[in-house]
Amino acid sequence: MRVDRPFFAALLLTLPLSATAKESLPPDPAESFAYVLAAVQENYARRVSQPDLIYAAAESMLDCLDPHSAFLRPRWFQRMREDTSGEFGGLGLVVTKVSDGPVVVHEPIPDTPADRAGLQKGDEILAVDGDPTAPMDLDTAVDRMKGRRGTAVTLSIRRDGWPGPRDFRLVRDRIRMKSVKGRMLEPGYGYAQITAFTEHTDYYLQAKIEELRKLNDAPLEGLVLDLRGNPGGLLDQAVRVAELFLPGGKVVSTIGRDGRGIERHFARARGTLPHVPTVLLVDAGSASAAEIVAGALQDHGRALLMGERTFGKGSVQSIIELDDGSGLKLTVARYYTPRDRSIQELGIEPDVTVRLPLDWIPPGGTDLETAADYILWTALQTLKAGNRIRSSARSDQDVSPDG
Amino acid sequence: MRASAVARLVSLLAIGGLALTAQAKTARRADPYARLDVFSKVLSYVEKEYVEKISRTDLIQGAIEGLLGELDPYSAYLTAEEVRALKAKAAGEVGRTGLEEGLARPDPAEPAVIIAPVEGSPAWREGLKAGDRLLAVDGDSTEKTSIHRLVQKLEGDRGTVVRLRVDRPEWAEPKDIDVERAVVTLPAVQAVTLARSYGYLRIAFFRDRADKELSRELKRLEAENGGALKGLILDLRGNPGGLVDTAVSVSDQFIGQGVVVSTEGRRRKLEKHYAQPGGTRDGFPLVALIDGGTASAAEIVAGALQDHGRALVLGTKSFGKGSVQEIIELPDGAALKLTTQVYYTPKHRSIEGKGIEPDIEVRTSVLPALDGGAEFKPVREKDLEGHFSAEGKDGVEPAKTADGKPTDAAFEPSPEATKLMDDVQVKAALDYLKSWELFRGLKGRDR
Repeated sequence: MRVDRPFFAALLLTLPLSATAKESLPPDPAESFAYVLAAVQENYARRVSQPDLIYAAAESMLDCLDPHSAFLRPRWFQRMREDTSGEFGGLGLVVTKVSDGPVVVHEPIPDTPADRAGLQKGDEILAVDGDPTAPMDLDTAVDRMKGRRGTAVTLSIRRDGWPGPRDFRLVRDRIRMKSVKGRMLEPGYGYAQITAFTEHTDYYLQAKIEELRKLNDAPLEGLVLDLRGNPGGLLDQAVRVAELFLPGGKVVSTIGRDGRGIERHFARARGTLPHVPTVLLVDAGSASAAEIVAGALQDHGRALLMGERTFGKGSVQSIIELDDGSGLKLTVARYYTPRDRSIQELGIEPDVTVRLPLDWIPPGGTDLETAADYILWTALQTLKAGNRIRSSARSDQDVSPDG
Repeated sequence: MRASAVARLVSLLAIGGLALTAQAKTARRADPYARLDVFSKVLSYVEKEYVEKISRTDLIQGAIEGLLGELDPYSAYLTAEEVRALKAKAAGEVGRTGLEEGLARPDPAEPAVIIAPVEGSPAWREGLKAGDRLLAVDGDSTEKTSIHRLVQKLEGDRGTVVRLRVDRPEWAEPKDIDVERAVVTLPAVQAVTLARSYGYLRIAFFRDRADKELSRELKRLEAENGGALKGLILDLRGNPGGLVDTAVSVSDQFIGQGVVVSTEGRRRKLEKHYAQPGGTRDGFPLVALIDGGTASAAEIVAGALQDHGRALVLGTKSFGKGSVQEIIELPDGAALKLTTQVYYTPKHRSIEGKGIEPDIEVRTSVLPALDGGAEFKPVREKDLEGHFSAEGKDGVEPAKTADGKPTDAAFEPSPEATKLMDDVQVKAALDYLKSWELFRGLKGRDR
């Protein structure tokens, strides 16, 4: 996006002119803003920082739009970018904190500076570069640990069994938050969960399913793809994830203002995963990119959707960075599923609605983590039942030619 | 007050000129408009790319509201239509509730608070009081609504009704109160002789010419009491303020010389307003009454009298609005009501957010009933059977002071004075004035 000319520079130069000739010219509301800004800066009783005024104005202007459009000051824009990229410069620690206590290591992410230095779950980070963490809020402490790759930070660590705290000097590295988790539920049945659609989610999902197949030592008989609580993320990642399951056809189409800028995204035949019966789990927390995947797989009959109606965010945002590091998240289009359904407000109704019963007692016979999750457990039973029915039908067919 | 606010409109060409020179001077050092460029880009992206068409006027309106949201709650943007309406209003008669000048929002997240309804106004007649929380006007919540917008909603044609949702701590739940708008023109100054030679003067608000009304009323008081006063109570309670110039002029009538108030802003550096020698009324002691409804210009007066030691300040802590607003017209016809100055008392105390602390704190409370019914009554000589009657006509000899003037005992208080004496703070003020007079007399005897 290119802006032809910043209009304010021109505007301020013409200000005395327009004041004398104001009767003849229709006023441009944008001029009013420049006037107000100048008047406030020259006359307001106290000095106010211009960035604060401009940022407050931009925030308030974007507040007039839908809830997904926003102006983000530099610090918040940076954070959003990290969230969508799934990548940042840091140490690789997942940390927690209780009000006035120090920051505590929840877990080190494998193969990160923190992991390599031997930090462990439960370690207390008393200070970052000499500054105690107890008075900081968690965001501030995390900000202090993050930083450019290659830079160093010293953590003062206390661990049970040590006579006193020890200092660890760690060099920051690029940390990738993996957006895909998974495991084998039972022999033949795999589980993959996408927590958000960040950069490389398609790659992580493909790798995870490959890993599950190797663990199973045979082609999978069923897969549960979990998009519950997935708030969305990058549109192109949603298209690529859908592509892994669809050999062709439309995945999603986006339409901008006044029907212009229609974009249709098709699945490419290359790279489609081998066909495995799939149950897709959704809930009210599945939004945006997650709804695109769910809508595409449902419209193509590629997966059985199970769970609860999805969030219903049928709009696409552009992320625009501005010169000063601030940025804009702007709703630029609505999207439609392959069958031209709009998701906005309506959400996606699953094929099978399953809610967690109040009195669910995890049954035996499955691993506890799976059994404790009623909806996941139901999905697994559904896949198994489906396979049994299909194999019985297949044996019928096998039998009939002889008959 | 509105009329003079409009009369004080600042020329806009000057502001444009200032902006230009600022740009020219700083252009080489750093670009002060770099962030404006950010703003213009944001506007451009939204206009071109947003999923729905949206009017530039709405966007800019939103931006301006955000910008002013960074400022204090008294600053507001007035569209060209609003400016026209304001000017028309200044010329004609508009129906008001009496709350328009007396609203505040000490906490931006909370509903508006009534500083004080104008005495005798429709809102005052409906029983609204200082400290009441105004939750809604005609069903619209006052939260997130600027004071300026609230005033617009309160005003209207004479005879029309506005419904106010009001809450008060002692109420179980908020009440809806219908107020019929009327022309609110009340004397800004009221004077009453409380007791022989002791005057009471109330200034309801500092509108234009309130200083003239004050000196006229003061003369009337003096004439009523046959010359000099022995003491005066200046009641500034519930006075939401008004014009700074009038407040300075009122203070000047009691202060001989020196600074009354100093104002400081970005455009105009420290500016001191002095009392003019001559015409000063310093022949009697003064007690100034303040409370939480004493705001702005009224705090200027209370602060000046306190710092100069000219008055004993009595009551409860004042509101704490230490800023001055100006209306600045913009070239496109719109205007800004902008806080341009903060003010300081003669001892350079800032009032903003702090208020004036009374020298003697006296809280409002209802006096215990004097006719306590079956309650205990002290037994006195006159209650005893067969007591001697006092000598003299009607049994009472009018007491006289040393100089032969009648004392309170012979003073026939007016109904207003009687009513005022039920007011704990007024009574306390009068007691202090009388004690002072008495002590002065004792001192003289010692000599």
